[in-house]
Order: sequence, then C-alpha cells, then structure tokens
Amino acid sequence: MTTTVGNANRPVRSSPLEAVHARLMARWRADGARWPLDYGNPSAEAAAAQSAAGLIDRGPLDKLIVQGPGAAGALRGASLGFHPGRISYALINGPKLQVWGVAPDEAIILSAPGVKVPDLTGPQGVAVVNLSSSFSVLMLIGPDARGILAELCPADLGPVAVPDLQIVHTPVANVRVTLARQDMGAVPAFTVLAPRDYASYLWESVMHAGAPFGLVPVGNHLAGEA
Amino acid sequence: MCICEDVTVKDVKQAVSEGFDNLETLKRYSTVTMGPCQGKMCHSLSARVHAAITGQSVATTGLTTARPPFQPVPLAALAGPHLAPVRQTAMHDRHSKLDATWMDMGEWKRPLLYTSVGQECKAVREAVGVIDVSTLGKLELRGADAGAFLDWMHPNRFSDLRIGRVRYRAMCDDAGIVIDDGTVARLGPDRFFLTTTTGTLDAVEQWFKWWLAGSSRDVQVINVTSEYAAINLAGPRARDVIARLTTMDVSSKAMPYLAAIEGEVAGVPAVILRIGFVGEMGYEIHVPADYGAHLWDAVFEAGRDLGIAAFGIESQRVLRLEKLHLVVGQDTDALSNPIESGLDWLVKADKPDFIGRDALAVVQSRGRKNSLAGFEVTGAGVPAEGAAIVRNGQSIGRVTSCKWSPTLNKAIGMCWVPAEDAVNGRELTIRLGVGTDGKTTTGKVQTRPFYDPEGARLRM
Repeated sequence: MTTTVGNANRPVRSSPLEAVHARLMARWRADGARWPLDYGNPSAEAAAAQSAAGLIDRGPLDKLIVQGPGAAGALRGASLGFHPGRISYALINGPKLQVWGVAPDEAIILSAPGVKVPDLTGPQGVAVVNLSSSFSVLMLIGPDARGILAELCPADLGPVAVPDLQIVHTPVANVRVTLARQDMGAVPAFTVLAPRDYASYLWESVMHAGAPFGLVPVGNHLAGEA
Repeated sequence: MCICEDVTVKDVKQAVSEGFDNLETLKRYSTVTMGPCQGKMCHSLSARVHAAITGQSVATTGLTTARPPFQPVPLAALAGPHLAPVRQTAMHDRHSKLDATWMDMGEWKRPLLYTSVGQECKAVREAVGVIDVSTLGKLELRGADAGAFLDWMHPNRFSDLRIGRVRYRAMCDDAGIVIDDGTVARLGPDRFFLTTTTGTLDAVEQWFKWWLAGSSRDVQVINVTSEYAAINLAGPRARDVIARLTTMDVSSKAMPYLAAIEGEVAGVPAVILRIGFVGEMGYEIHVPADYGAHLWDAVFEAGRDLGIAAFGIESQRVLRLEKLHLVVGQDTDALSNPIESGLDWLVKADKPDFIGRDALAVVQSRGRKNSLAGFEVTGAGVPAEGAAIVRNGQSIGRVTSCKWSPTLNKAIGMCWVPAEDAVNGRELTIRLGVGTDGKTTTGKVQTRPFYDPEGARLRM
C-alpha cells in the first residue's frame, strides 16, 4: 500500500543549474520543469544574443545513446540520418530529432521530452540506453560566441575547421565535452554537451570568460524545442 | 651541492666569506635550496656544509624554514581564473541547505559531515540515515556476452547471477592486485548494472574497453555515472520510509537482502539495490539525476516522523569500520591481493580463466604473508592512519584506518599485520603517528565485524 507523502507523486525534473537560474530570478517553463523560460526580459536577452553573446541552459531534452558496431545500420534502417562527426536532423511523425554522430559506432539522439523515437533495439551489437539526465546542454549564441570559447577551448573552432553542424570532442575549461556548431540562422551558435555534474562549473567558467564580451544568460524562449 | 640552482660548496664558502654566514641569509644570497626541487635534494646537505664551514653544528644553526609551495608551481597556474573542474551531484544544493561540511574527492564535492559523527551514526543505527552516493561510478553492460565478460574481468562469477540479484565485486589487475570494488546487479538476461568506487570509474571503463578492443564479444559498455543520482537509505526504519514512496512490495520476502529491482520510487523510475555498506538494512536507490533533488526531498518528507537524518562520509567511514568493510585504496594499496585482503571467498579458482588468475594461484600456493585485519585500541589515543605497528622496535605492519566509534565507545580500525598475527585477540603495539614523538598505544586484533557479526541486521 502506497502512502502519498508530500510531493512524492509530483516529480519535478530539474536542471543541474536550477540554483543558478533561481539566483538569476528565472521565470520557469510553463510545464513546471526547472529550466528557465527567460530571466524577466526576453527581448533584451534576444537583443544581447544578437549583438554580443548569450548562454542558454537548453532543456529539458531527452537523450538516447545508440552504441555498438550495429548502431549505424540500426539508425539508417530507422530512417534516422547518421553521419559520424556531424549532427543530422530527422523528422519522423512529428517533432524534430537531432542525431549527433559522436563516434563511428555511437550516436546521441536529442529530442523534446516525450517525443517517440523509433525502436532501435533488436539487432545484435546495438545498445540503446536512455541518458536524458546525463548531459547538460549549454548553447552559446551570438557573434562573440566563438571568441568566448577560444578563451576556454584549445580546439580551432574557426568556420573552416568547424562548419555548421560539425561535432568536435574537446576540453572546455578543462572538462571533456562534445561540442557542435549549431548556428541559429545567420547567428553563430555552439552547443556543448557536457556531463551534468560539471554544469555549474562550466556555466560559471563560460560566464566569467564571456564577461568582457557582454555575455548574458538567455532563457529557452530563444532556442525553442529540440 | 644544489643541482637545481647550480650552487657548489665553493660558492657557499665564497658567500660565507662575503659575510652571509647566517644560514637564512646564505640561502637568499646563494639561492641554495630554492630551485624546482625546493630543497628536497640539498636542504640538509647545504645545512651541514654551512655548519662545517662556519665551525658549528646543525643542532646550533638549525635548518632553513620550509615554506609553501612545497612543489614548484608554474606562474600560469596562479594567474587568471582557476579552471579546476568541479563536479556536483544533483543534491548539491540540498546539502548546502543542511550546512554540510564539504570534502573534495577528486573533482567531486561530497558532504563530509552535517552535524556530528555521534548524531549521524546514532540515526543510522537506531532510526534511518540517508547518504548521497551519486558519485559512485556506474556502468551498464549490455549484450549476449556481458556475463561471460564480467567473469573474465573478475575473480568472482557473474554469469550465474540471477536476474533481480546484486553481488559484490572486486576487480584485480594482471598481477592479482585489487584495483576496484563495487557491485554488479543483473537487470535482464543481457543487462548488468555495475558500480565502481568514486575514484576508479575512468580506470575501470578504460580497462573494460581495452579488453574489448578488437574482441568479437557482444558487449557494450555505457558510462551511466552522470545519468543516475543515488542515495543509500540505511537503518532499521529504512523499509518504513521506502514503503511510503512506492507501490512495490518492499517486504524482506519480496525484496530480500541482495535484491536488485527496477520500479518507481517517489513517482520516478528507479533501480533499487538492497545492500548495506554500513551494516544496516539498506536500500541504494538510483534515479535519473534530473529527479535527484526530488527524490532527496521526498525521502526526507517520508522519514520526518521516523527520525531520518543525513549522514556524510566521515560517519560512513566509522559505520563501515564497525563492520570491517574495507575501502579499496584506503585499506588496500598497490601490493594488496584479495586473498590477503580478506576477500579470498570471492576468488573462484574453478573458473576457466580470469584476469589475475595466475598471480592469485601463486599467492594461494605460497600462503598468506600478510593479512588485513581489524583491531580495537585498548590503550589511550587514536592512532593516525598510516601509523606503524611495532614489535621490539621494528615495524611489522601499519594502520590503514582508525576512527573513534561512538556506537562501540572505543577506537577501532583496520591494519596490515603478518599473517600469523591476524588472529583474534593478538596484542599489538601501535605508534600513534607523526608528531607524537614515537609514542605508542596498545590494541588487539579483531577478525570478525565489531557490529552485528552475523549480518542479521542487513537481512531484516
């Protein structure tokens, strides 16, 4: 017999940066998930991101890892694009999926919460594991995004070395992350996929490096869903 | 004389003749001892040379004062922002609100203590305690060959582990040295959930992948450490707490000791392991980390009227010592094999082969030279960890852990001693440690757990 105690039956999914956003007076998403919709002035945030740079804690997003020698075949068989070192987008029965080809035998699928992903289990040599909580997804957007990352990251992130949708494995602030260029129209943007435990440290490090550039926190209103 | 700064005996004589005959001024003038080794090679030599030249003794002149940095530090490391990564668990802010004292464990921040060891241990032994164990390394192994692979990687056996059960694991390298321990739970026919110690995850993951590289085994190793936040709920009232948070049958019949169950806790999907590092009825609950703070809040709310309290690493260290549960890397070192560490029961020599088998066969045939044993302090004081155990002035062993146990009202610990001394009641002479002028205390060996030696409380 279950006794309902307090909020036991009302789970709340929380960003690893919940406390940081709370200090920044975030307004939370309408669905209750503890990710910021904005910080009180969405138009000012958008303007700052267009003219300098903005940092977004994207989420909540679901993440599925597909790994093993049969991963590429399983993904392509399900009509999900798979290109190692690149992000592919897939539209299957609705919302957009991002397929990050993080290795020749490994992909991470990012989607809005609850979006149904085709069944990829079955073939031998493929493991499909839900890692929705594992990664924090930070997006650095704006004309100065590349300059800010250059302060923290040894990799060449220039437009030739890293064209749009290119994935790079590199340290950022001495944390091993998966980073991808993911421009928003004409505005340069980089998405950092980092283990969630480092989220606070990375947020502070990026904000510190970005202060001279005028970097501001920006809510999810600018990034939309996956 | 000073290789780093290229200072010779002649240079020192010259400096003294120029009036720098005080050791401290001689150091500053000649830069002897001030190079990258920071005096490690020339500190005492330079003092003796100076004493000889000035016709004094080192007892009279003394030594120069050692000051930090004791290791050379590049200026680049001191300039600008300190980009030293910090990892926080999903419950970090909950610990801050409880005024936790923090400790650094690698990159992780972990609560060392919330109130006092006495209060926290009392809560675990008499009511229910909760500790954040999210920092444990976690791996999922998938594939048809996962069980056989785990058999190959460990001295003990996992291919026969039933679905829904969890088993202790200790892993050895090729030389039969214990390099990690934790648990393996079987969650499906081809699905294993494995925990490692906080500090060894990367090494274990790399070790697994190294052995799988180029192999045709159907095994996928997925690091799920960041995916799961985890708590250990321990104490005689632990079942009462979890029963309020789930529809599952959590009775000892449905969820006995060493059960591994997937279900919902506090409305969140969870992996529940019935294990007890601290020696009480325990539930290790792993949930997706985005719900970690929610789980923490729900557990505290459910246990409020049952005397629930958070406990930190310091209390956990005391509680596990009462059970004589070893900590790899603390009670073992780079020479410790499972047979001499008291883990001989898990070495399955009848298996076809496993990493470290040949080395362990040698240990089994020659017999134990040393043994890891428990001890209680019968004299005054609490020996420092690392303190020597002596006999007739000679070191015969060392203390690996020693704490004051508020439950037992005495100091207890673990130590390495010659195998023939690892018998109940054997008297020991134990140095108290550095800075105690060689003072000793007395103790006696204990080979069985101090607390609940039959393990009845784990199986409640």
